[in-house]
Amino acid sequence: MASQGSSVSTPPVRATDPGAPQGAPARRGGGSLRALRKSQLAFLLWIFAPVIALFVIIRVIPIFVILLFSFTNYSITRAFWRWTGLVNFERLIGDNNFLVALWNSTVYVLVAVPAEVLLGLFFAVLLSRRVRFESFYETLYFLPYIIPMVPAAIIWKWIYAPGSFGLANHYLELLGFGRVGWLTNPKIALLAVIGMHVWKNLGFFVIVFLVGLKNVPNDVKEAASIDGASQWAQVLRVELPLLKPIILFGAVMATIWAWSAFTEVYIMTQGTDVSTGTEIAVLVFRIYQEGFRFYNMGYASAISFVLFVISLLFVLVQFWLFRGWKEEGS
Amino acid sequence: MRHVPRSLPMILLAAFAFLVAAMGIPAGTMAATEVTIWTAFPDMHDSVVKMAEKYMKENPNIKITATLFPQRAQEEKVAVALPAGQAADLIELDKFELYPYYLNGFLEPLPPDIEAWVKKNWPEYAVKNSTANDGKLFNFPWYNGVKMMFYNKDYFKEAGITKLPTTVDEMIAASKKLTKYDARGNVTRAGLDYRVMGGGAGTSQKYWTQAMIPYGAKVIEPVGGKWRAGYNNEGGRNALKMYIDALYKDKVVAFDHKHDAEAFGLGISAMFQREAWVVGYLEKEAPKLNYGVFPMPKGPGGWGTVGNTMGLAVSKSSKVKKEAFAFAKWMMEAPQSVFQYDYTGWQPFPTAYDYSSLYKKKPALKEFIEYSNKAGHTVYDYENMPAISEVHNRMAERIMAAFKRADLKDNPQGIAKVVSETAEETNRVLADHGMLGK
Repeated sequence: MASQGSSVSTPPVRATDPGAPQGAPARRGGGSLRALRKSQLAFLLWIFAPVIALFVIIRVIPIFVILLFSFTNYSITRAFWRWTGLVNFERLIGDNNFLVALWNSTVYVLVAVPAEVLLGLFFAVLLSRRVRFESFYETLYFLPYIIPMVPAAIIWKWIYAPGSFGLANHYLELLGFGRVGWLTNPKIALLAVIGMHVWKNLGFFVIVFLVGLKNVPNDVKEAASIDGASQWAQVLRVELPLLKPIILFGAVMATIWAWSAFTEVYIMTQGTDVSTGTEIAVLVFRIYQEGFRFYNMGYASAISFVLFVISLLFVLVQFWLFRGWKEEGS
Repeated sequence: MRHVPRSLPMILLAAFAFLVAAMGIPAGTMAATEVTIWTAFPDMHDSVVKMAEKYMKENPNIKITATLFPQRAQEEKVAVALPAGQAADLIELDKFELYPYYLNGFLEPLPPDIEAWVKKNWPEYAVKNSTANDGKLFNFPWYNGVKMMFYNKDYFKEAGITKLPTTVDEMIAASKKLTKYDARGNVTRAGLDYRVMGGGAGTSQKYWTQAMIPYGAKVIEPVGGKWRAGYNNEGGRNALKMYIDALYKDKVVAFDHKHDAEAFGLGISAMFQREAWVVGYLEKEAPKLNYGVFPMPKGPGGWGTVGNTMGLAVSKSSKVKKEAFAFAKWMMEAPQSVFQYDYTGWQPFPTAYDYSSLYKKKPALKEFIEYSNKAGHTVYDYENMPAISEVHNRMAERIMAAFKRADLKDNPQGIAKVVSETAEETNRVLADHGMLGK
């Protein structure tokens, strides 16, 4: 019990745990593993073992298997394969297809991630201002996110269809503008696909940031308001800094999704009215081509490993950029 | 905390393992002998399903299960499943896609009696194209993808073209007369709908047919028992020039309009090359279209077309090989072949079967059969060589990128450079597979 008049509060005394030795200090909620009995620990391990095993088998081991394959000439259609050392990695340096895909993927990340995060923040801030029909808008933003990527990409393929058959060109011509080769013009095809990707994922970021904004303590906002801060100053100086952990989460997710973009690129290269492929080929698309079109699994593994390293570096850089923040007002 | 029995985790784990194992028990283990078939084209799939229904009535102890995977998905599915012994009993794929699997022991060659039957009923070139280096037929040459030119008769009449093109120059001249433009200069009707994008090896196949054959270029040519790129020559350069001129000089085709059978059916192209399946497609989608077909025109380098073999092969791991071969053979007998040609438009190989009942309602189908065997007209197929798919796919990527380059117009050095670099890559692929001839 806290002493009266003391400015230091002490944690409430709890009844000692029946299983604990007499006189032992009370356990806090969420105590360490050491405090658990051996039988309880064994039970936890048994319960989580299948899940951990599945995670290791499906997520961890394949990374090492791919690294191993990247040093071989493994092909699905060949019964035997051999160790080739760094040959696959050396080939990457001179492979124009790989370099173009690397460039396209980098552009993808550098355009999609800021677009998703900034637009997500913008719309979340607007929605956090007690607008009418807020739930309707939240549903509207989130709807594209829950549509599977394949039908979404097929819809956009129709929107981007060439000539007057595509919805986008149809309306452009109605408004008096000329047609645009959305997927056929090498200069804009990649941006068109990125646009579709951002449209699809934006809702996720709006909702995540909106939840974060709604959890900013009211007393902090009121204090800023009393101090004379304008709405935008309040957003920029109070709410967004408190939102940093969630923004970091959003940025990391956006980065991973952008590096692993594939379905929309694949869909938009199928058929005779679409992109030729080269100008929108990204790294995962190249991995798919090398592995499942040309059956060069060894080479595809090398590209996969390079992608793994690059995307990991990007995420680490993001964590480093966000490091050292402290929650203001706590 | 309540005491948890020690055996509980073990019981839970055992229950989990049992559930996982139970999912692996095949359903219907007591049913008739099941033969599975994976098909790659929707119209062929439908015809297989109909034929299978008839076959099962005649053979009640056999159950045929057909599953459709669209062509590219079929290739990927087979790439993973066949080496793992998990593929269907019967697999439909391009012959050149099947060949590497045969070389690596994943496919069963045709048994001697069925091989003899095929050799008796199929054209010689079809048998030769499906014969492996060990002299065995490694798949049924099921149907033929011979390409011919489809043309819109009304547009030809409107343009005053009374004689069908027989040479490449005549075809190019006709295409210029047939093209229409809007006020902004956009192509609204392609005079000749060249295949300029989409589908990887499909684009290189059409390029091979439309431009390389008439100018005497080969994708690969034999050299001392191996292969080299056969288009780093004048023929290859003329082939690329033909497309560049069509896009940027004559402007008979463009990127920003619809292409292929859909465009032809909609009336926004006057000519294009494709296989006989378009006949069935137009019957359903554009029954009033007034069209005809004519053979690929002759060029200074040769006369012919590409007729790729779509094969049907039996998995080595199949437990019902005898039944699978029996069903496949039955599907290729005369009554079923006539049905298939009528239903799908995909051209069966046996030209000696009587298809005359189809010609009244679909006269175009007769031309395909006739030109498959015409003297002086060569039907080319993909070489039986493991790297051929990669060669075509990589060539397609480079030529499609070249088609986008307006700077190649009136630029023979630029065209020569593109052709040379593409041929270099072809040779690299051949070398990777140990197949490059010196």
